[in-house]
Amino acid sequence: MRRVQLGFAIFAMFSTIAIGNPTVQDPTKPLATHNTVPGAAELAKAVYEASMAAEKYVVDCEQAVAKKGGVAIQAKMLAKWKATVNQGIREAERLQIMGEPAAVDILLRNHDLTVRLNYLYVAHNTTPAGQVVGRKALMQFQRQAAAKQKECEKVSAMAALQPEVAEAAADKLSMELDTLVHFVGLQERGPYLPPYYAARAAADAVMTKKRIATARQKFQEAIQANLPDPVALTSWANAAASQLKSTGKATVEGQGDVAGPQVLEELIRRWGVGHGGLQRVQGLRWALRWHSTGSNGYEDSGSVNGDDPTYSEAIAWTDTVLAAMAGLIGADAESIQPAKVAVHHQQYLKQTASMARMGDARKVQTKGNEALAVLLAKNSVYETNVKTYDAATKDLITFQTRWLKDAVSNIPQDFPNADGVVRDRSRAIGGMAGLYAEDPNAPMQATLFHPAHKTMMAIAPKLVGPKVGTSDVLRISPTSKTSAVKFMGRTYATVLAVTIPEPDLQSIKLNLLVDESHPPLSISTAKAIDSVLLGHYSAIGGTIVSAQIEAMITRFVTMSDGMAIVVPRGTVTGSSTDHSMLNQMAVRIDIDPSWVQHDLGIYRIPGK
Amino acid sequence: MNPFSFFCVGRIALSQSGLANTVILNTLLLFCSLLPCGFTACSKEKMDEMVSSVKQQAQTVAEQAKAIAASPALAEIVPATGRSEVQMPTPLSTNAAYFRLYSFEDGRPGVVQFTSYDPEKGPNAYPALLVRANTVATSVSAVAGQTLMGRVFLQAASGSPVLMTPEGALVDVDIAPLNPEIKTINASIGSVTLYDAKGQASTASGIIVEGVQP
Repeated sequence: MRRVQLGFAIFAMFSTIAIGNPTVQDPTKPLATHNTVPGAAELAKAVYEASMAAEKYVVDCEQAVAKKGGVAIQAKMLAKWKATVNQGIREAERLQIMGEPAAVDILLRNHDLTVRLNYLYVAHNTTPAGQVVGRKALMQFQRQAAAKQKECEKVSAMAALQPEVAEAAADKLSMELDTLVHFVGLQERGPYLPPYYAARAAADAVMTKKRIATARQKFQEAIQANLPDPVALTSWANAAASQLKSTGKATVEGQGDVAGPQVLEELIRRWGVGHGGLQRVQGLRWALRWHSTGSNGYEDSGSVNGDDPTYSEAIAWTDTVLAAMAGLIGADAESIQPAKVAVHHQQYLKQTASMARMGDARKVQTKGNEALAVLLAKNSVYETNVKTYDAATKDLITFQTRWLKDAVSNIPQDFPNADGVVRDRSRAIGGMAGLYAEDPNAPMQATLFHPAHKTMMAIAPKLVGPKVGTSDVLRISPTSKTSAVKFMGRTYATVLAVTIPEPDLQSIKLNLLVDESHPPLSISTAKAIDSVLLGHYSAIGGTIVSAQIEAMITRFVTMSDGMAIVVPRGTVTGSSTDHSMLNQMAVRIDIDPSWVQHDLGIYRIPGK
Repeated sequence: MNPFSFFCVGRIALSQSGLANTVILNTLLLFCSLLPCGFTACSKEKMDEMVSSVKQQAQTVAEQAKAIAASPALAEIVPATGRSEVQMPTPLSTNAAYFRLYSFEDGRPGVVQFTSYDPEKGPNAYPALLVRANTVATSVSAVAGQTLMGRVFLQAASGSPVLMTPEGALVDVDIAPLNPEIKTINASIGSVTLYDAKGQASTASGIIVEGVQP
């Protein structure tokens, strides 16, 4: 997967069109590709470039026609772009088989261009010059009929053994046909078409099957490469645990023999890689599903209706990790020297606190506390300290948590839920392009109904500016300048990380009886300190400053392990299982924060 | 047997059944009745007689104290379970309060907590009041008589908004000097502004907590 992304980045550098996704700043950027099937990115780029050029021609031509009428149209150019657009449609259909959502966008673009070109043909064909062109085109059909018949038959014959060559030849024939056929009336052109259609059908029949087989194979390979293996993880953790039990150290690849907390760190790393993998698998399965939905006319490749398999795999993966965590800490406790209990306990607390932040906090905290109790029992003086600390801080946290609950229930008035705001502002209302159906009762799924760039141009002015609130903000990494907000429906967000001023930090530390040499001694306080220091917030409110639309499939298939924090560990983003995800979109918003809510309070950013 | 031990029995009985002014008066009378014998030599018979008489009196006093404590007005004043009082437009009070000093072996600053609820059970009895202040003291006697800087948390009823002093805005918590006559550690706070999550301020003109030690 990494190599694919690197390849894509290099490719994007040399591209003449800006690959990315449509943004508020540049709505014309085409949809990104995930390139799971090699060649898809290049194909998408070429087709996007062609359809953008075709659109430019159409716009210019429409303006000229508006001024001068049909005489402004040059037949040769019209035919050239018509052929380009139709070739674009064929290539987009190939991209669709490759599971690329960009295909949907290209199809929508080219269908739009088809309609507009048809108007231009009508304008042209009704002029005297146009009628001359029509007569000449018909004569050409008649003249070359026998030769073309032979050529078409040759393509049909090649299809079985040399399908790629046949397809290229069929494409050439189709484009030749397109340059002539639209100047000729429907009835007059009729007799000349069957050989072309036969060649087209023969080449497509073989190539479509071949493309489907290749795509499925590539998708299955990618799924296998990304799907975490709970059995392997358990046996790795068991081996490490038995080493810890006997020697207090375990071998970690690339690190040599390390102590318990370093082994847990490795487990946390593996947890993250597996979680990232599961998100990519979810995207890959969505892409594969397109092959199994009836509407596209291809045979069923195994329906995924009903339970979402990735969902149960995600639960199993996190459960396995938590069991391994308990096993490692328990094993360390067996061999540990009493003098080392405090150091290990404090490291484990920091780690379990960060685990609780990323996933099912309750489960992590319960499992973590159970395991840590065994470790604590090895040093009764320290254990007393920890119990005293817990008693001395837990009421404070209870009151703060209740206060925050009140605070959060008051927020929605000023900072309504971001997903709701994005939905309301990106509806397709009154014929305007949009991502959500006008009917508020329609399924809450952002869908590409119109070309992505037109959709973005229509919704961008509405998306920027409103105040929104959202929950669960995690810093992407301790050094990262941005935090990410988990998926809510089809919306997710990034936020510039906020630094809480030193005096506030000091009073929080004072409350939690923490200073440089005295770290927190419970998971919940360690989590609270992390929340403040690292910028993991339970909620934020702010203004939408930018937005981008992305395809769900591409977003998930190309999800980096770091970015996968937008989905809580132990889960995957769900989807309706009854239709293709190829046209399903996500909206990423960038929020300029006005306030952030950490575990112990709300920090209002001055001037916001 | 030292007759002063009877005094002690009386004190314990009293403090357990609730101290009221009348009870204190009775105790003093009992104390005075014992004095002559305490400072003079008594015969064994005389002593036994006095013991049984005092025992009876003590029982009567204990019963009296129980009866008095049961009357609500007096129970609110000084129940032996401690008490708390928040002077607000709608005053809040509890007939129980607790004091805890948490100190650490690792040199970490400690904390004192006065609560209106049983700290073992957490703030789940209402009104729930927590007065919390950091301290470097490691013994109750070192905390007593000091003014600490702390925070106040208050929730009048289950589901009602939590009021608190803001993070970083510490208030003076005056801890009374130790009084060997009473079992509670007492703290008082002057006028204090508490805020709910909407930012709405409420003023308490005073807070008193008489917390029982474990």
